[in-house]
Amino acid sequence: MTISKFTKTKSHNESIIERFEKLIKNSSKREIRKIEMALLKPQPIKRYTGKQPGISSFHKKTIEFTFSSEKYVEQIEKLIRINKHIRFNTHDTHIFEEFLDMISAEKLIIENGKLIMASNYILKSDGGKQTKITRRKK
Amino acid sequence: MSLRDEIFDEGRRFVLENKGLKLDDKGRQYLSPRISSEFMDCSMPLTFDQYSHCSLGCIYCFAYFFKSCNQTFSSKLHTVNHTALIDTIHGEPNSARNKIMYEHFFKKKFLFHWGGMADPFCNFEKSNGIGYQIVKALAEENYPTLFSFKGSAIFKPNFQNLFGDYSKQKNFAFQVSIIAPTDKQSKEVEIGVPVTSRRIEAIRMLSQMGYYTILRLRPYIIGITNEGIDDLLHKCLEAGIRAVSMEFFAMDARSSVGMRKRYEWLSKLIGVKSLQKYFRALSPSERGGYMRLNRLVKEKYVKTVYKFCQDNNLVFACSDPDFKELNTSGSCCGMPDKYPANPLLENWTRGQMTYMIKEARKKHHMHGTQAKIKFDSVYHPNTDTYLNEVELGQDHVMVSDRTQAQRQGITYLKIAKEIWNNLRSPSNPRNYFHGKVMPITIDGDGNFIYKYIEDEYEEKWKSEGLDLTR
Repeated sequence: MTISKFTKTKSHNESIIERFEKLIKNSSKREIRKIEMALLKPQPIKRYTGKQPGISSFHKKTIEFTFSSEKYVEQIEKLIRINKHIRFNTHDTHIFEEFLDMISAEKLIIENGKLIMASNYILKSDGGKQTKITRRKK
Repeated sequence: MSLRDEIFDEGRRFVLENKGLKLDDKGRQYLSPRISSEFMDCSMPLTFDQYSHCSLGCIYCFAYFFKSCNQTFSSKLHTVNHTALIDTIHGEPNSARNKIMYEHFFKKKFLFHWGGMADPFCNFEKSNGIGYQIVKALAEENYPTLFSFKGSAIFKPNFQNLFGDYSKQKNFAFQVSIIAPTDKQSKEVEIGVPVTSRRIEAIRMLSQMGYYTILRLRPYIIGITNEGIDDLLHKCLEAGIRAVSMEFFAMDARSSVGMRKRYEWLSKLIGVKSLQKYFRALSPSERGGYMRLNRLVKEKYVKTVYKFCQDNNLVFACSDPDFKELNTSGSCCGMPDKYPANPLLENWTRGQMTYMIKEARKKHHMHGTQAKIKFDSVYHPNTDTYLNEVELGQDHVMVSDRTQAQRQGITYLKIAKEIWNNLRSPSNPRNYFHGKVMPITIDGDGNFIYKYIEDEYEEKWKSEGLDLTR
C-alpha cells in the first residue's frame, strides 16, 4: 500500500499522532520520513482579530531629549532628580510642567526664538520664601 | 573526492585554516561575554566563549552556520582579552564595556554561561590555555558558571585538578552535549569531536566530583538521535546526570557552500532526498526562515525524554519553542530552580518566557485556570537592569539593519516590546511558540496580553499517567 493510501484511511476518534504511530510500525527510516511529510504537516495558527497594540498611554506621555551640549544636562541635574542608572531617566518633571503652563498662560512668551517674560507680568516675592510671576497691576 | 571525504575536510575547516597558529596579543579581538539575542526566553542571557570559533567539526553546528554566512567573518582564530575579563571577575573592571558588564551582571554574581557559540574545552584550548586562566578566576570568586561542552581538554590534568580542588564549592555546573547515541553515529556527524562514550566519561568524572551535570540533547536530530535514545539516556543517568535539556535541529533557509555540503550529508543520514524539502514541508511558515519542524513531528520524541525524566526524578528542560511549556524548571538549559548546595547556581533570570510559559502550564493543570501573560509580568528592567542599557542593546542581531540614530536609543527592553507586539515577527510569542500562547487583547500600556492554549497532547499524556503539574 502506498503512503497516500495510508493517509486517506482514518478510523473515528483517532488522532493524527495515533495514526502516525500505527503507520510507521516496521517502516524503514526513509519510509518514516515520507509518512511524516505526508501526514504531519504544520497546522496554521488562528488569526488574531482583536485590538491592536498602539502607542501606550505611558508612551504618549514620554519624550526623549538630546541636548546640544552636556552642560545643559548637568544644569538640569541640579534642578531635578535624574536616574543615571537607567539612562538618565526621570519622572521628576514638575519644573518642566510649570514652565509649559506658564507658556500656555502667556506669563512667558517666545519671541523670535527667545524666551521673555510677558510685559504685563512681574516677579514678586512673598516675603523671602518664594518668588512668583504675577500680573502687573494696571 | 567522495562526499564523505569532502565532509571530513569541511568539518575540520577551522582547524586546517589555523594550523600552527599561536595566539598573541593582536589576536585579543573577540568581543565576549555578550548578551544573547535569544534573551526573550533565555534564563542565562550572559553568554561567553573564549575563542571566536572552536576546533570541533559538528556537521549540524548552528554557530558554524551563522559565522560562515557572515561576510565579515574571518576564520582566523581570535580570543578575548582574558586579563581584562579576569579583572572584571575579581571586581576591578577597567574598560567601559567591562564596567557595564560588571554593573549589570558580575557584581550580582549572575550565572555565567560559557559555551554559546564555541566549545570551552576544544583543541584550541589545549594549545592556548586561555580558558584555564578564566576558570581559575571564576573558581577563586566562587562565581556561578554553567559550561556547555563536548571537548576533551577537560580531561587534561590541569583542569581535572582545578575542578577537583574546588568541587566542594559546587559553583560550577556542566552541560555535556551528546546527540548521537553510539560512537559509530557520533563519528558520522561530529568530526574531530570526542565520541559519545568519551563524553559520558566526562559526565561521570564531573558527577563523581559532586558537580551538577546535564545531558544536553541538542540538537536532537530525528533520524539519528532517536536511534538508540533509550540506551543513551540510561547510560547518562548511570553516569550521574541530574537533568536533560533538549532542542530539535533547525535549518536556516539561507545557505553557504560549506553548509550545502553539510546538509547533503545530513539528508543521507536521516533518510531524506532533500533536507530543505523535508524542512519546508514540515516547518510552520510563521517562524520565518529559521525552519523548525512542527509539534506533531516532535511529539513522540519529546514524550520519551519527558517520561524518562519523570520516572527518574530528573529536571526536564526543553529549549525548543515547541513543548517549551513542559520545562520543569524555569531554565531551558536545565538549571535547577533550587540548588541548596550552592544557591548561587539559582542566580539566573526568571524574567523570560521559558519561566512564564512553564508557570502557565502548571497553573492550567493544577488549578484549571487559563493563565494570562502580560509584558510587564515577564520582563523586569528593575531587576534585569541590562534590559535598559543602550550599550548592550548593540549586541542584538536586530540592530544590524538599523540606522546609527536608531541604534542610539535601542535597548533590549525596546526590542522585546517591539517583538511582543508585532504579530509578523517570527520571534513574536504567538509565532515562536506556534499558537501555544495566543494574544487575546491589549493591556493599559498598549501591549498584547497572551493566554496559554491547551494542546491535544496534554489530555492524552495525562490519561497515560504523565504528570503535567511538575
